Amino acid sequence: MDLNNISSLTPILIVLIVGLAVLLGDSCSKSWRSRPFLNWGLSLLGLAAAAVSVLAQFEPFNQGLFFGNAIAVDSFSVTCHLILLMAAAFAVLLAMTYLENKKLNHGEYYVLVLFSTAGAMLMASANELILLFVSIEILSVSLYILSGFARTNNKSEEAALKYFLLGAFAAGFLLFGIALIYGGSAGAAMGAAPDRTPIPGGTTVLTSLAMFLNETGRPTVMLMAGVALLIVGLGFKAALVPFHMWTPDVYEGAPTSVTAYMSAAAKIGAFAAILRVFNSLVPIAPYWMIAIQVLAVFTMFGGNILAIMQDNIKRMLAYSSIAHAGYLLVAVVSATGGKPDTYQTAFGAMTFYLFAYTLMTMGSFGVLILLSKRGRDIQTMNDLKGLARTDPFAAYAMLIFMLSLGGIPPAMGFIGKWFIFNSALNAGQLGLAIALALASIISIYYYLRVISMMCFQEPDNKTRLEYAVSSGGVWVTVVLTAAASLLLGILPNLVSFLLNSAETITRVKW
Amino acid sequence: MPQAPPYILTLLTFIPLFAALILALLFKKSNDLPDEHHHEGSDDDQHGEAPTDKPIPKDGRRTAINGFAIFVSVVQFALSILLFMSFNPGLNEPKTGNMQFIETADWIKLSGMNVQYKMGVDGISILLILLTTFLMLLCVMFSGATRQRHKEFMVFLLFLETGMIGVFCALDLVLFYVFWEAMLIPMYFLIGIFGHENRLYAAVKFFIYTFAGSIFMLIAIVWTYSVTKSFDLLALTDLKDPAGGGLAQYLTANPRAAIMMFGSFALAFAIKVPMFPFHTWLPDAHVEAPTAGSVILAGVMLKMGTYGFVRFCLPLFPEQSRATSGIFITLAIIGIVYGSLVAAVQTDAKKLVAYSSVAHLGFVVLGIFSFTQVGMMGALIQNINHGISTPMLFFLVGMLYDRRHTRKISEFGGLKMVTPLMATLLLIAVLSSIAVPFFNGFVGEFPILLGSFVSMKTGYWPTAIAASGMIWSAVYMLWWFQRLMLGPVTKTANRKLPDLRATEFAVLWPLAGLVFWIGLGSHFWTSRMETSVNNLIPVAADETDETLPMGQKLMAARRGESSVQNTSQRGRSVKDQFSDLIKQKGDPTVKSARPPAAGGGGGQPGGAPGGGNSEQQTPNPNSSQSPRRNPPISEPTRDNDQPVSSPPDTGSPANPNVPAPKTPDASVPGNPGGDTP
Repeated sequence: MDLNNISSLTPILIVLIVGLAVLLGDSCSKSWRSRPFLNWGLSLLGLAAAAVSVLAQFEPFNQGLFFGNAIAVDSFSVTCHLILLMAAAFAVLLAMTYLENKKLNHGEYYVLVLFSTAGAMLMASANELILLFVSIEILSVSLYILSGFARTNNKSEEAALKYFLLGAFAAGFLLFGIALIYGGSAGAAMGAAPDRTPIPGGTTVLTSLAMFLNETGRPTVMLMAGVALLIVGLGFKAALVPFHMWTPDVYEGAPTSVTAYMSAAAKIGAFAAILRVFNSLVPIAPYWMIAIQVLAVFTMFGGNILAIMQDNIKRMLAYSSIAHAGYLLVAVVSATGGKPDTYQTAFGAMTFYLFAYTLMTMGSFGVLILLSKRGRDIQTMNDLKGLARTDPFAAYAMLIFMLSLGGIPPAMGFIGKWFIFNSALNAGQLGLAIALALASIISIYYYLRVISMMCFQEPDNKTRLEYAVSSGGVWVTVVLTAAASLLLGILPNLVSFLLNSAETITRVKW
Repeated sequence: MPQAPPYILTLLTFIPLFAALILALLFKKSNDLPDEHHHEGSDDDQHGEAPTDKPIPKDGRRTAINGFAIFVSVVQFALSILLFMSFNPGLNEPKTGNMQFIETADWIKLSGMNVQYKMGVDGISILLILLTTFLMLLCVMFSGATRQRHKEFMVFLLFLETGMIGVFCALDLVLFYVFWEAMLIPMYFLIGIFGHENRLYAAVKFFIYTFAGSIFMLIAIVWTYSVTKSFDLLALTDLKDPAGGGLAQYLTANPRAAIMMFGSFALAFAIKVPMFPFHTWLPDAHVEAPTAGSVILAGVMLKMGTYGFVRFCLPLFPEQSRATSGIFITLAIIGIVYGSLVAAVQTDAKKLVAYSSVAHLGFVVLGIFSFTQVGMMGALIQNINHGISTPMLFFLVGMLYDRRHTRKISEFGGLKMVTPLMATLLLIAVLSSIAVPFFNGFVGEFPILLGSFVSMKTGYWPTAIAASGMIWSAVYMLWWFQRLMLGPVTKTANRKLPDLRATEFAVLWPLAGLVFWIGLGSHFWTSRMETSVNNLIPVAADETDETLPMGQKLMAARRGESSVQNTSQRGRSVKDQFSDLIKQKGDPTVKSARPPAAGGGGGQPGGAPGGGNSEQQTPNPNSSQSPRRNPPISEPTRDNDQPVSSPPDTGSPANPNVPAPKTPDASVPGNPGGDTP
């Protein structure tokens, strides 16, 4: 194990080590516990340090496959890492006083956020299916605990249990699928040089799998069964319809800062993994493409139609996040099903949309946190009534997020949607583009409903909110995400690196 | 000729945005006045005593906000007048046509895409910009007394102005789309916050309807890009440009894709116009919106639909527009008759005006899709006319509402005695809307009907049905006026209504002045758009039927053989171009190139038709005065529709090409409409 291998993991290691440091400090030292700023301060510092080391990996010299091809460091993983670190930083900022108000301000929160971030980062880098499984479990176990973090709240406990049970079930699918893929790719693993006689068994390394499939061209039945189970397992993580049942309950029950983090980080990790896995399955794309296309249509329409009926705003945002997963699947289809020369556009659209989605979804949950009363969260749409008169700042920030989620210019969500349209048409997926258009028309209705509640209704005295002690962290998050959603919608050139995310990814030319 | 400052279009577009931000952030909000609008249902009989218009209490903040907004609007209006004065109507460059004040900068350069910040105006958009700033000034003046959330109202109005001017200036498809969509947000707020009882429903309906249309336009824009690698409108409509040539080739080779792309654009614009089956958002939005909102909706926003047809659909998809013109003409005529009939039975004074818009915009669409120069010119002038008469009607209805807090026609009657000034101005607006001669409506609707009559796309009977719309408009408008203003005063509440206040009169008289200016001096306005219209419908692509004596005369006038023209006088430079044109038309090589080329498209199926197309284009930049659009593209399509008709050239004595009438027969089997796989 040489130094190169270790250095490929630097960002993830930094996050993990800082997490351990916070854990040790918080649990071992009383004086540490009396200074809560140490927790979030150290976490933010660690995330910043990790971001710096990620930046170093943008240099192609530092990229490649490490640890026996298990870890891929390429433009795609690096871009995903940056988005994940940003999401984690927002999660820390959002939690600072929110947890204190709920009397939940324990160091574990920050530890778990850091651990799950490390897991999600590993997912984005995993070039090996077993490693992918392990990293998914790191992410998921942390999220199970986080969603039950409000121990005294029944809903939170229910969310955690539900998430855990269904998650464990999905993990079974995933693992079995990996085993089947290993069996189905028998003959893929090459012996050591020089004779290169095939050794028995298959491979779980994605790049080898891609090469193997490229040579054989036809998958075995066992391999296809494995791929199907893999779709189920990953689809659960990404909350695709029909594997989405846990999402609204968990989003509703978990503390809002956890919901915000979960909605972004789990989605980024899951889609990074999905894209990397299916990128290696491109040689047999005709065999599974239809499944992804159907899932995309179901997810877009299912999420949006169910969101219309919600009165609880957190549930509405949960269904809206399902719909956004559908939009992202359109980019996945375009990235894997298109012509060989257009996949880069689709990867770029994917990472750009993930970035935009992180900003707008964490921003809108941030507004909910900003408005939460001491000990009680914003629950129904009615709680937002007349917000433009009682708290114009929060209302207009929410307006930006809603427009961005709806994909209306000049917000960033529009640019993201436009890029997805672009990649879909480049890949010849006109039908999916039309489905995406129809789904966004549906989605407009419930985003407008929020705006209408906030801006067009007069506040009832009953629903007038007593605000929690305003928190610097939440405020900073909302301002940053709102400003970025607007600014990057007008000048998307500033984040052009997001669109070059496929520059150095390994891709089999078939 | 005054010189406009550089970047004037950017200034015009973004001054309101910055003013809105300054207003939102630096000004303190004014005190709300007691709310009279929102808590009153339509059961107004309980108000025995008419609410007299109480003077607005002095409020320094309100004055400051009003002053600032009016100042910005005046600056905008002055800038647009400056733009208008320094506009050169005769300019006709080979690449940019009549487009002027072009500004270009790179905007989004990502993943190989190049979206430009490209702005420019021609004779069509400049009038609409002038109309926008003018109406905006009136709206700001009128809305100074907004009772609740006054500051927000002004902020949204100014945001709206940025979006509207941006739409009329944008020459890049994505830039256009961004303005087109962004404009919805302030309008949504104007309806949703400041509207009447049913405002939430109307606001959402308005937004979703428009969004539903435009999201498909976004797909079509992206599709266009994936074919041509360009978003630049001027490049896309220039056949000599690789982008424009590529688009034409692609559209010819893929007729189904072409129809889908054209349909996506057309749907967005048809909803905005709104054309007949898509019009249902309009009565709701117009009725529920506050007065200034209705004025902007009717005055400017509806024009964006027709503007979109003229600016995007026709130049980008010439063949498709012509092939489907029958659909649009039918829908337009249905819109005219249906809108008029529904308007006639309304009991709500504002709803009647709203439905009258459906009818009037039907005329505009009819004029556009007649594909004759006269019809197009009339349509564009009618566009402006409707932007003057309908806002005037909405202002007056709004003033009546402010006095009586009801819009029911039956609540009024005999107001002529009580408010004579108001009655006079309302009569002017009504007559303008009916299109009585000397009023502006006439100079718009008459050329439309003339163009429709001589056009081979419409013909006699459709025009006759459309013309009945003028009678219907007299029916519902005069009856409406009679029920509001004439007869005895039946309601006690109306006895003491105050006549127009000074601010109200100040809003109305400029509109009344314009009614007569356009009605009596239309050439001043039409001469600005002449070059643009000629570029849009070159002589060779004019659908005028020359078997009709009137058509012959019109076409002769177009070719410059006679100086008489019905609708307009020609500018000097245009005349020169026409004489050049005649010289070139005499060139026999140019003429003889045509008949085989018409069939050439079908002779080479597959990838070839486009190539054949561009081959046949080559003589055209010389033969037609407009190099930007290829006229012959339309010819085969026309042959398809009207196999017996002769090409327009044959009627011209200057045309030496006598055997031309055979052309249709030769090209029928091989026209592009027929080579669909």
